[in-house]
Amino acid sequence: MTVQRFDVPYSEAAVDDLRQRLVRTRWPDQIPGSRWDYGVSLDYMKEICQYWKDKFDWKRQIEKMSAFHHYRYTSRDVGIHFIHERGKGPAPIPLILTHGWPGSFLEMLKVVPMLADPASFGANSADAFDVIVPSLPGYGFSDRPTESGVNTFRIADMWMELMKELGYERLAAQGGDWGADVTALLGLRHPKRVIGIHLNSIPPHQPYLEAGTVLSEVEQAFLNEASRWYEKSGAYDHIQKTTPQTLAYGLTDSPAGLAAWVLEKFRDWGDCDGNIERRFTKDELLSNITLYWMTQTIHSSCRLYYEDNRAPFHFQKGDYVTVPCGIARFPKREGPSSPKRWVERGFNIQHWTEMPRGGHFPALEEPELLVEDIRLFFRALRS
Amino acid sequence: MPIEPFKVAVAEQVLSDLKTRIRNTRWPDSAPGAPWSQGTDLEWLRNLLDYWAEEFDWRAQEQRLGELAQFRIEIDGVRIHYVHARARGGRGIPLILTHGWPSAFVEYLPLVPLLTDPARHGIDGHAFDLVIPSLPGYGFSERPRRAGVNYRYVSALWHRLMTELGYERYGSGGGDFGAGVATLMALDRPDSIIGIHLTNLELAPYIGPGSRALSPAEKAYIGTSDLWWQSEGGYKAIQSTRPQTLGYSLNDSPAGLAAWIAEKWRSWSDCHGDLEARIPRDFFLTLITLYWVTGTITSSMRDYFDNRWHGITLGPEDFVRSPTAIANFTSQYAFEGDPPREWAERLYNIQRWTPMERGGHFAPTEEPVALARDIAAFFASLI
Repeated sequence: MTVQRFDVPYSEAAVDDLRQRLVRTRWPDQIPGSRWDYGVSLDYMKEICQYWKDKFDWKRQIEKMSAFHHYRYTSRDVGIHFIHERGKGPAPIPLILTHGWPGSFLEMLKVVPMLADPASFGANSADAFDVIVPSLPGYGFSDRPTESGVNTFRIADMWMELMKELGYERLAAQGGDWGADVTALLGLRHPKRVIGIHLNSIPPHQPYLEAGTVLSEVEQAFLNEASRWYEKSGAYDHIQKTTPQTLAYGLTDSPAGLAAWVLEKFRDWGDCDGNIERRFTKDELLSNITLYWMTQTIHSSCRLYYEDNRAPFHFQKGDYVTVPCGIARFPKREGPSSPKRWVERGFNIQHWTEMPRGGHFPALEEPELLVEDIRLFFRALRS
Repeated sequence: MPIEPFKVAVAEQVLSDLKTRIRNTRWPDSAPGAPWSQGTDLEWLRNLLDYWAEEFDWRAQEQRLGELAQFRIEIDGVRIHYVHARARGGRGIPLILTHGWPSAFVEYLPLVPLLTDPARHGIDGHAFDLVIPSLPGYGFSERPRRAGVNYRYVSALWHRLMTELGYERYGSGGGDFGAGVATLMALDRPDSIIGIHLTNLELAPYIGPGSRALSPAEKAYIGTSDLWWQSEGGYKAIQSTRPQTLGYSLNDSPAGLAAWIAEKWRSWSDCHGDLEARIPRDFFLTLITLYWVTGTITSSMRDYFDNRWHGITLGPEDFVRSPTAIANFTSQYAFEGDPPREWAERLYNIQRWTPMERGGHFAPTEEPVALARDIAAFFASLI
């Protein structure tokens, strides 16, 4: 078990191959005027793929990433990539930030310096964190698991192992999407070592309900809404948790196919009113997509849904996250959001912020709002 | 409604481009666990694609298809492709046979010799004049460039086609979407229909208020269907909500397309997990090549979207009075349930009910003789 420096790789040949494939894209037709009704609009796909081919500069993106300190840690058989930035302040506390799907560690690059070095951003250096941003197993520069069983439980345990290796006995944790599940499990499984958890999306956890528990009207309405949402928008989950391998062939072989699959979620889940570039620049969108492309990890990233389905995060009798939990709820979400009462069945909620704007990718969309909320929540927990 | 003779003739450049793409496939890694447990198996698919690029002889298949009389008729500005195979030695019973997804008119071709000249094949009954169309948006049929191309829409097209061919009364048969189309033909134009013959049940009957209580067998069937949906229904979830998003990869990657379709043929045929033991490789690749060269996977998937969001709802008053035969081919590898006769009788005037010992979802290709006998016997009883 070792931690080693890691240089983000760049391959000119891979960039050329990607360009060639983009040039040869065989577009499907589209019903005229249907826009995004049947999925990602053909006009937008052509526009962004042209930019990808002609203007997008992967090398420059790599240079930007390389401004951070990258490492790899080998946990049993799975190598984990992570960024580690030391805090600048009197008493930084370690904070591990976990991304989700279809995101990556790249989501966090705006907030890392703000969290590590608040003084440089006009904030108080007492709020500094040592920031650790890992790539989930099967994502980005982390290894693709070659065995079954790398689920959110295993990942939470890997994170603890990694933090111990870095010399952190106790830590703070933050995340959204899969990152929220992993973060919640850090709190559930390792309460003694976790100072607090901050979630920017509420994990789709199932609290333990005693037989005969009467749900509040709000809770029941949420469950109904969640099931309606799943009917209209949950298909990506359905396919990724059952037959990710079948889906992977096209997404690994076709850059346009990969881009469409990933972009759709940024548009649906970002607070963008249907105009994806109101929230995300083409460079932001394409950096994330190119990372999936170059590392050939769309398949392994989707497999987390399969693994999760085999070992879902459902609370058992007696399960309760005792460590302090803060929620930053952003108005635009991937689906309906659990009411506070529902979340309180499983978590020790100490902090709950209703955000004025932002969506599922707040570290990209609203970095200032997110960072300020993280600082505020953990300020009370620093001793 | 002009009718033109049609011959399958794919440009050499399209075929050579296909081979180049197959050879340049960028493969995903293999999922851990048992082969096929997370979708189409990597080794199996590599093997298939190797054969597709290096040995499969499309021109030979084209020549075989060229032996059949094929036409395209223009209806409302959309060209519909069909095979027209007249009864040997004079006027046969007119019968239109409709395929489903992910299939094509070629699925029905094994029936052509058997039903146009049954005596020669030891099958009792009259000979048929067969019309085997390609659904709109499949193969060589165009799809109207608008929403709402559902069972009812297609059934009206088919009626116009049959009328144009001079058939006043005719039979209709099919499976999958084809069974839905045949059902709507009988519901909407009973006077034109001699009878309908279905190889599976596409449409669920009305079971709302006022209908008879479910029998134990019906409950068991619904239970099996629900479980099937959870493990096998991802394709339908995505195709009925975001077909366009998926289309980018499947239309751009031969591997992606082959994997997507192979999974379904394996799960739905009576192959015990070994697709090629049931479905000859050359037949399967003819089917995939049809989807590829016509670029129709995206338009074919719109059937799921249109039938779901612009579809028809069966009410208590909907009942197919035309004589109906069901050849119940239920030996799918991924068992979808065994619909009891009383389930079908809620919607259909069942005159013939044949449980089939072998054969799954693609009966005309899997069990052509058993199916031809059943069709011939059914229509012999009606005239």
